[in-house]
Amino acid sequence: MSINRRSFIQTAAAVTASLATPMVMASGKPRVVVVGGGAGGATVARYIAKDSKGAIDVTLVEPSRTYYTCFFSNLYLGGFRDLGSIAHSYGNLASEYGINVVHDWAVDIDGGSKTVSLAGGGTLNYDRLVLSPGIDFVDGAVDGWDLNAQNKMPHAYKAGSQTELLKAQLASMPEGGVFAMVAPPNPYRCPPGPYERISMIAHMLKKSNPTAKIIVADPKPKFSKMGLFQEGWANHYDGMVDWIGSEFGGGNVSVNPEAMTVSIDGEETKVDACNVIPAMKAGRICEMAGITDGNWAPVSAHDMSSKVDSNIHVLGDASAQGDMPKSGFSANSQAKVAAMAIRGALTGSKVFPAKFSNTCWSLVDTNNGVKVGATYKATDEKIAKVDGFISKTGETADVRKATYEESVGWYAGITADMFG
Amino acid sequence: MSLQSNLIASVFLFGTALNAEQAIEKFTLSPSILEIQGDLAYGEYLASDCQTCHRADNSNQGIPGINGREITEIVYALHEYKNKYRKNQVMQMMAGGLGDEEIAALASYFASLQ
Repeated sequence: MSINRRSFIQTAAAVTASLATPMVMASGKPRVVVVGGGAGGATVARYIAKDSKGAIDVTLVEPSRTYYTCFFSNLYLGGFRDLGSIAHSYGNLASEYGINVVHDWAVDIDGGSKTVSLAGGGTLNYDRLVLSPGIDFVDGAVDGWDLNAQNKMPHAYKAGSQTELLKAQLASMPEGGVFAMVAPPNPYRCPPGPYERISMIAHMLKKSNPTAKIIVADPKPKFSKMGLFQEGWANHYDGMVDWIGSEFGGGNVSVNPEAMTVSIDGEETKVDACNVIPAMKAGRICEMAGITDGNWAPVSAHDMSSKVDSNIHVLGDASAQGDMPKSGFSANSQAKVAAMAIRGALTGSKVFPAKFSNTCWSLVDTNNGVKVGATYKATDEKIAKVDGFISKTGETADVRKATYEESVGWYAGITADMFG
Repeated sequence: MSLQSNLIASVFLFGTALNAEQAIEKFTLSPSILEIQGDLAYGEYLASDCQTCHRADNSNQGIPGINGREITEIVYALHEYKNKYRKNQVMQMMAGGLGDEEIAALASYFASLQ
């Protein structure tokens, strides 16, 4: 459990401080404003504050007082984690690192005057701005679904209440009922995420509702760790999962949330629970800042600065950076490059060549973890892959158990790296 | 520190989490590699990538803490991963992207931590 009474008090104190001073402090120090407190935003805020040792004022704008990590939220669905174990507060960032944590929505950005407007009415000035807003959904991406329908057919791709809702709906399925997932097209947050989710839901249903069926409608012909997941589904959840890829009409989908039906390539199926994961785009604040090209915000690989406005850096899922997958690990890695570059620009500290890395662990069943990873370098064109690996099918139980235990260690590590 | 104790120490490094992927092979490094003086500032930057998994508070939870280990121990461990004398895929990949100077920088930095 990551939230305790001490951190709650710290968070409350931070909020009080931010309410009392809606404008930035007139300290004369360089100012960095970070919008979004996830794997990219929390990390960049912490590293700039930590490594500048007070020479830079850092403000973090994040509407949620409790952050639920999207990574490991599938393990909550599978019953391997409770929700509290993926919940984190911003108290340490305020109390231990002196970050001005503002729980508000950024609603406008003026790159000319270098200001961020908040929904609560305040304005923040910046010398450098970091946008790490994660994803929003593309309107109309799945015929019949919009945000009004997310209570009947949750996306559960921003962790928290949506994840709780999906878990409750799965638990309420009748014996032998049908669960459907509408998987997203590329590119999207956490490439193995939908398929780890299928594994975790199958794990849960196998115990509580073993005659239930799982249908996946997928607009893609293949997906991340496909061989590993399909091996796992065959070995552990035989006959339960029906994956329908694009070659078999998986991309020709519509849903009716009122009737609880899903139509795949013209064939309508009544479902008892349905998870719609629509096509994604950069968090909307990137559009409002005028730094998007299509659905994403292009950045320089050297410092994650926007190709439209070099005083704005974009991290994680929202950025179009090249070869890195959209993952929490990637956002965390990019945040460290951006933090170093921003400190260099504002205080003259030494800047080293950018290096990036990513590993995505997924759980297939109890003590059965798989992973994929790569290292990357900055080129003038993009973040370019250097080397990589992926787990192999047919690995021993010992290797899979070690991989799972490694993922648990990584979760503890990255969340400490984000929130202090 | 003798070569034998180097090997024992480096095999132990990271070992608590990776028993299933451990390989113990004879592995030696030339004195020219072991004598490189690591750049602490560069090591601090490079270490930020490691600290996504190896916790800054040095706690062991699935992945071991590595703060305060001997420089030679860390240099050996990273070269062993780089040359695939140890079998963890993540560590082979991470070390595989490091040059001798970078490994020395990382070793100096982690050795300087408590």
